[in-house]
Amino acid sequence: MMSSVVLALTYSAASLGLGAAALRALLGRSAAAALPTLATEFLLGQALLGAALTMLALLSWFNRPVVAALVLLCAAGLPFAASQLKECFHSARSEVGAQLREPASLQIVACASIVLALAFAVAALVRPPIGDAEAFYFAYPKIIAAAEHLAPMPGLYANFSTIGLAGELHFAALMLLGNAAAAKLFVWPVAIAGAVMLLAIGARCGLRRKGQLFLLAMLMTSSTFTHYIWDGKVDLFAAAMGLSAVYWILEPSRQIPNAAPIKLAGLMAGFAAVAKFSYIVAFLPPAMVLIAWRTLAEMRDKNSGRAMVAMVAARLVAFGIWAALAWAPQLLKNAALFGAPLAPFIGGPQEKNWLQQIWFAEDMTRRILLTYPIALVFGRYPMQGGNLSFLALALLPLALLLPRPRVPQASLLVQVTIIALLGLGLWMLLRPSIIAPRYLLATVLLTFPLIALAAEHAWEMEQKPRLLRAAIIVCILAAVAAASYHVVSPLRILITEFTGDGNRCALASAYCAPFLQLNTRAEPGDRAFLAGYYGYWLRADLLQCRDISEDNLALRENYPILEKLHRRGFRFVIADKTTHPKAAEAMRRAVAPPWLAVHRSLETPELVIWELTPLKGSPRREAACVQSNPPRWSVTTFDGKP
Amino acid sequence: MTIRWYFKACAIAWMGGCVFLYFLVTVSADSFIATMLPDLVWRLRAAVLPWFYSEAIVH
Repeated sequence: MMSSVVLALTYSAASLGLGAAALRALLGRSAAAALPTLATEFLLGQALLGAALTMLALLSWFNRPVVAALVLLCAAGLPFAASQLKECFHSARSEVGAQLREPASLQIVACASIVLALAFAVAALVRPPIGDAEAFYFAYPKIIAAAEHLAPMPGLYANFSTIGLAGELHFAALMLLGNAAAAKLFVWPVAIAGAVMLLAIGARCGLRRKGQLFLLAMLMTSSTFTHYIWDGKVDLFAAAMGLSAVYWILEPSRQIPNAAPIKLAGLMAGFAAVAKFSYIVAFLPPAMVLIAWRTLAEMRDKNSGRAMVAMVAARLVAFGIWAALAWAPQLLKNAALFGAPLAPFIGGPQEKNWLQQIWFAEDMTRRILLTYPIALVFGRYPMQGGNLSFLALALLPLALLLPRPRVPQASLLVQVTIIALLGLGLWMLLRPSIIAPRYLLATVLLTFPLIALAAEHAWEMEQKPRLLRAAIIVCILAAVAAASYHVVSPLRILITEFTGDGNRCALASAYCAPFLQLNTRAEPGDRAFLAGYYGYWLRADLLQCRDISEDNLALRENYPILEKLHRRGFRFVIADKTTHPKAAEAMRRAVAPPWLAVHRSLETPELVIWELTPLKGSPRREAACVQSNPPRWSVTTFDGKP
Repeated sequence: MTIRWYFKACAIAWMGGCVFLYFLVTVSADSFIATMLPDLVWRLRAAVLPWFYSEAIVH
């Protein structure tokens, strides 16, 4: 476990080194604040490292020596981050001193929020991937690491491999260099960098120490943020990079001339949109409005209308060009894998239902829209993926106490809040049935600084009896207590790990134990037909050899199902009764031919696994999984076709 | 500017309502705490939850 921590830290340091060198090239010696600059360096570095890893994997150079050399090379850029690191350590010391002078109640909130943030690191390290991560976000990297090569993921998610792989290549690299625990832990520094960016945006909007503390508490008690620190998905990569983009849009141009912050913002926004396509709708337009608004606010009083329009256009073009640059690796990847650089939007696989999702019927969609923003906080809808902190609603009425800014349109807080609402409105308009704050996390989080500022303002203006202060503290502590529910079990597991009583499937899903059992029975290169989504726990060669689209075509031919499965070289058939009950039923009813023994080798409440054993007189197999290009496994037919 | 007592009262009631509603929609029937809850809480939960939950129809 310690080796996983060391590896994740080393890899994070390498990302920081690469980002620091890149940022120095882009901004020169920047006068921007040290901590947000450091967080941006890390986020930029991991995005660039991810792009480099994508290229290596496409070229089949994704092996341990090459990836290790690349990581070490990136770490060579660390001296560029030295001055920021030094400044951060100095300011951390004075921050701790200042925090100790705050009232005891605020110190308790600070400690609780920081302990919670650290506990999520433990959860990320200890909890195995779960849910969607078992289906794609961790299963795909497992295949890439084992095959040392990037190809569309075998199985149901082949078409889904067209998405941007913001985190997956990092996961694959860390699995290659170490293990899955190190890969999972890497999301934590990304989350912390995102938190730093949000706090820095808050500071630009006028939050002081207390307000930033409230903001941190709101973030750390938002399950739609914290859930993705430990579950193994990649949503936080987009959120953190999106927040970084907003921060650099807010950076005053007089500190760093030549529109460099806008270019950086474009790059980060582009990477965020690659990482989560929904950001194209819910994040890029508001970010562009913010650029235009900021530019007009800066140039007001000094320039003619035409000069202002020209400057807005120039900045938007710079933003667009740098955002497009961030898409280059994604376009190259899809050109290489699918012959369609703009897949899944234009060209590529025919099946694109996942781009036009409708989650609920009309009446339910209407109810969801009418209950915004309550639905974002209290909604328990399937696939919603967590909530915003209830502190966002609980502290919202305090905004009534905020003084009206003298020039509202010039207020950063007004600008940030309005573009957040604009992004949310766009999402509600264009994707009304999809209630999922994770799809527009960077955008919705931008509503938090207003609420945190309102709480801070109420705190400071309240006179005795200070009941509001007490209510704010009780509310925050209740939220922290509720949020800590998810990290209690991992902490218990961590203790058992250190006492030597570790169980690999503790805290894992119900798929872990049966698949680990299957792994011990299966020979290398055996084929398993998986009628289900969650394959992560299968051995990497079994994942590479699983059913592919050609199998589904072959299964449509006019043979009985078991004969078809045998001919396509399958030894195991796995049906997930919870997600694919029809497949399980079809297998149960299938009549085995006399030359095939069908044995139900394992059954759990979720899964059934059958083993097919050919007997004397069985027909020749048409396909098998072979290691023609080690370490990669691939399915080939005996007539030479894939 | 001072904060009026009635604003404080409303704000505190609102905060309390938010905490209680959160508890109501997130409390799980298989949690330890669930065993100690009175029937009234479960009836309230049954009344509230349909406003925040529905089966998905995925296309």
